[in-house]
Amino acid sequence: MLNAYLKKELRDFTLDAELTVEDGETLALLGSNGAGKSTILRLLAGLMKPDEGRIELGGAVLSDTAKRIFRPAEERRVGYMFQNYALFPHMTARENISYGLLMQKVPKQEHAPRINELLETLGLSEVADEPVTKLSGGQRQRTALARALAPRPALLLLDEPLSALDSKTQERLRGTLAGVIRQEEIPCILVTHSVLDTLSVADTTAVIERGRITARGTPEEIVHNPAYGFVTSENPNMFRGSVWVKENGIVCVRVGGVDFRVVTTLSGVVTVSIRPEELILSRSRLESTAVNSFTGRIVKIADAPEAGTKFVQVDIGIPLVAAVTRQSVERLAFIEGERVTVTCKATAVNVFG
Amino acid sequence: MQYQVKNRTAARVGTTVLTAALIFLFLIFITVPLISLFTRISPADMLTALTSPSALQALALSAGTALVSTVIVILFGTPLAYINARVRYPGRNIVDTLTDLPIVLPPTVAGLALMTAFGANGMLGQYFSLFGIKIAFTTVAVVIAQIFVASPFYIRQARASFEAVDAEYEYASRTLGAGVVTTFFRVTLPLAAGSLLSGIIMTFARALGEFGATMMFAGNLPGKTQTMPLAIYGEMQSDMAVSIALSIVLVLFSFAIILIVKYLGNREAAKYA
Repeated sequence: MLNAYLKKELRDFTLDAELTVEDGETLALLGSNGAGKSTILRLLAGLMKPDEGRIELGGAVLSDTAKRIFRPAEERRVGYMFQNYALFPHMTARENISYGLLMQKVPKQEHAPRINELLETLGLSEVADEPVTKLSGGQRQRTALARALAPRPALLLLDEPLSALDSKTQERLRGTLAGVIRQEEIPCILVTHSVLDTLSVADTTAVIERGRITARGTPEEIVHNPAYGFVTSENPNMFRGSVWVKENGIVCVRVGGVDFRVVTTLSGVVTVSIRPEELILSRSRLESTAVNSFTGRIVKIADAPEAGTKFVQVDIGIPLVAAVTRQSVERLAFIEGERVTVTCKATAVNVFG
Repeated sequence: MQYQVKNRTAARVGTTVLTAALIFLFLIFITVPLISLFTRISPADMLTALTSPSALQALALSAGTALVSTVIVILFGTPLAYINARVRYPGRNIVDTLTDLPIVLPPTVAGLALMTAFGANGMLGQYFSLFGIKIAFTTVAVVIAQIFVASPFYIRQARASFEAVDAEYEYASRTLGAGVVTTFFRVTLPLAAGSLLSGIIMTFARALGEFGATMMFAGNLPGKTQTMPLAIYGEMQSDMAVSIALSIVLVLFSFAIILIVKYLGNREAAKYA
């Protein structure tokens, strides 16, 4: 278990945060750029000294300003995955992964099995002996993850682990990342500003704004809370759900109590996202080719980031946000608390592994 | 109404011709003196001159002292360059200026300064004298003069090489369990190596060419303090062939050095791009 209290004067504000992460728990630190997320990771890893604070990991005190204890980074057994990976460019993937084992004096005979296990799990066996400069973005990302995990760290820190990848590769690796992290029985902190990452990887989520944790809860609670759901520039309509097939062969994803008809080849637990622009609001049920139709109450009408557009949040059992023009809201005279119908096509529901 | 566009062909041709002429004249200015050295001696005479005892002595002394000073500069300069590249501390600019100073200082000033410090009655020299240790006008003085004058070439380049290595690599190494020193040798040094090598070569070349400070502080004693540049100067009166032969060796060597450094620089730039 990780227990930390950290305080540090930064240029624009004071970082002041308290964190508790259980073994096997993944905490997502969600916040905009420059909110202090990466600083927290650096302080935990011992790459930066706090002005004040205490870090306790698995019963051992790593840092305590009151007692003048500061264990240097190399003695902390923290697996740190950097945003740009920081893979050693003069080494192969295998050499990168074995570096931590070598440095932490893990007995030689244990190196090969551990490295091969990681190479296999992460699908890197074929490129293991390539210099990392020759690897693709996705391969580098997995090598960085393997390197951080190889010496069996006591704490795993991931700084925007997917942000350097193109969206296709992100989609592919999000599932791998989630799977690998769930197997580790250690506390894990994931820094991100992606709602999708948070939903698919994290167990708990903390919102960080200007160095302070302003909210904490399950990923769903945070992401779908109108107070925070709108703060991220990302799609607010992202949910975890599971794929199931009706007797008549229709493929659905069940989110909460709501079934979305989808087009997908995936199965099991997935993340679905619907762009707010794809949702049609109407006073009564539409007769159309769009197969997803739900009724619910309007929770909130707010200005969307684009000029002339409004976000209308409708509670259909889960909170869905539709983007509509201001004129439409006025023309149909939608008000908060009113019942409306929300409609979209099956293909508008994007399904991610 | 349309604007009249002037025909600028003549001006364009003029610019081209003028530029070409300036470049050509400058290259002639640099090349002619170098080439004229080669015209003053036949290959056979050159071989004889180079194998003369005074030339061989100077060659050996130059190579030996320049090698020793380069090694000493690396030993002392590397930690300094690294700290200045990575750590912000009060007075860093002063330290930087101090280590850069010998580059612009006239070598005669350096020689005189070394004399007042290490000469028999110098600030430090007087204490060495108590133990019967003489520094000025010995081979040790040659090495000291070379270190003093050539060290900035290494330290400047080394600092830039270390700064070019992203600190994030070092952080990664630390979190993986490597201490500061291990990180330096396993990560920073290999990544800076190519660029450091350029600095080492330039330092060696500068030490090899050292003349003024050596002359003032070490004298011109054949076999003891008479390095190649001093021999070239000394032999001009007695045996011009030796002077010319040694000069040609230095010209060729310097040309090769700069080519190598440029090649290393290009390779380094392409390596981790």
